Amino acid sequence: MNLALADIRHKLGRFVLTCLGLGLLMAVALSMVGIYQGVVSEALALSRSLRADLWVVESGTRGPFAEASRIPGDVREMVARLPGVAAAGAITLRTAEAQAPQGTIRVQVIGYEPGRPGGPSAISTGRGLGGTRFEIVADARSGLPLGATLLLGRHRYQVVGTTRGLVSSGGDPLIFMHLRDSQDLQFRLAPAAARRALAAATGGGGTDTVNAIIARLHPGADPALVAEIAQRWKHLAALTDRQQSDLLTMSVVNRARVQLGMFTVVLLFVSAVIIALIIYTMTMDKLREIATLKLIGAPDRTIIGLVLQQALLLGGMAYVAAVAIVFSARDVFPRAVVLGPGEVTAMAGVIAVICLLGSLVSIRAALRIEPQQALGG
Amino acid sequence: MAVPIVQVERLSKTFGAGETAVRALAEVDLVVEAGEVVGLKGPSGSGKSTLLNLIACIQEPTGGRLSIGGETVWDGQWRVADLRALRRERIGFIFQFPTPSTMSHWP
Repeated sequence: MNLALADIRHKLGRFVLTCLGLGLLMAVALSMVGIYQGVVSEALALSRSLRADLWVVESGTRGPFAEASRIPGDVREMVARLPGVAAAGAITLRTAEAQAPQGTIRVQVIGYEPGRPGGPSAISTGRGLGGTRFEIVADARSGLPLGATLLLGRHRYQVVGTTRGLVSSGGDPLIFMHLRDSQDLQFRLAPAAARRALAAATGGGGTDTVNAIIARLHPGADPALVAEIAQRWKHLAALTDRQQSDLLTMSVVNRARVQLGMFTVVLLFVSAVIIALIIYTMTMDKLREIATLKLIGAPDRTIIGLVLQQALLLGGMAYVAAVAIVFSARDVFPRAVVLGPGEVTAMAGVIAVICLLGSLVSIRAALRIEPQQALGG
Repeated sequence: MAVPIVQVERLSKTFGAGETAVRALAEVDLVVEAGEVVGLKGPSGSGKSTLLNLIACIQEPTGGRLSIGGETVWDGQWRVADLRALRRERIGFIFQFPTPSTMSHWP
């Protein structure tokens, strides 16, 4: 018979509760791994959705995500005529607080020209932007249903379509609108300020400014070469999509990424210590039983097997509980919890290693138990 | 003549050393033949448990000779390399106080 199973059966309720407690701890560790992956995934969500090969931004900046970038809107025409460029689109980006039916929400507004690069790659429900102004496509994370209206600045916008999984690097849902609407929202001065600007002869009426031009290249065109050509205009800088992705992960969300990574490592250490203590307590609870086993001549491998099997069963059950908890609760998290087969499998390996290492102290203690302790009392 | 199952000759056990030494057994002789049922009785502290512990090879004697099934187990030093195997293969135990920890869930 299997001693580990027999012992668990003897104290089944206690074992199940221990597994559940450990499962909750593992669920926290697993969700931290998922949030870590989610931060990276969310940071890249927009750039992946736009499917841009080249980002043309203001000279001396690494915009539009890492730094502010402003360039004239007509640069789009210039970029579209560069050798190797198949299509170019102007975009604006702005974080805003808007009045939604459910209350104030924080969103990132993307302005683009329908029919040109810059819009969402897929519409989940409804339709994409048409020719009419004051329409928006909102990500489902904003909580805005089709037909809802959103007060942004001085105008109301109607939701005509929704997307899924498109958020900014800060986790704010994306709202897509016409470039002209977003330019008015971002660059149009209030009437009084516009009058003052006109009086001071500093302009004030023009809004044809964008934050970046994104370009899709012909197959076979070298992004680095096209970027080099774009940078010959002294007022422009250009980044390839790879450079933009690296910037997003290594600069924009780097602190959050490192913070989460370090917290995950600390959490795994804490979990390892707790698992080791639980296994040690479970072993010490069986002091008399182990002494009896030694008394009746059980070899060391039987005792090692007992401790090891119980540790692995505990870890296995806790892991199953953790996976069930995280996968059933991850949609409740305000930010994406991204867990693929790789992360889930790696976590199983980490827990197995923690259980094995945590058993070592208990095995050492079990092997030092004297057989005459079985006869005491 | 049949070989005794247990043969104890002048077996002694002293716990500790020097002034604090406690002599629990002093040169005890005992022979148990096959099929024989033997009971040990005596007042508390007379060394009954100690003698059984020595016969069961759980504790090491300090003097004398112990044989199990005709094989010398101890005569100044252990003559059996694996005492746990000896207990497993040649000695059976019935516990005085069968508690849940020792009996019930490991049938």
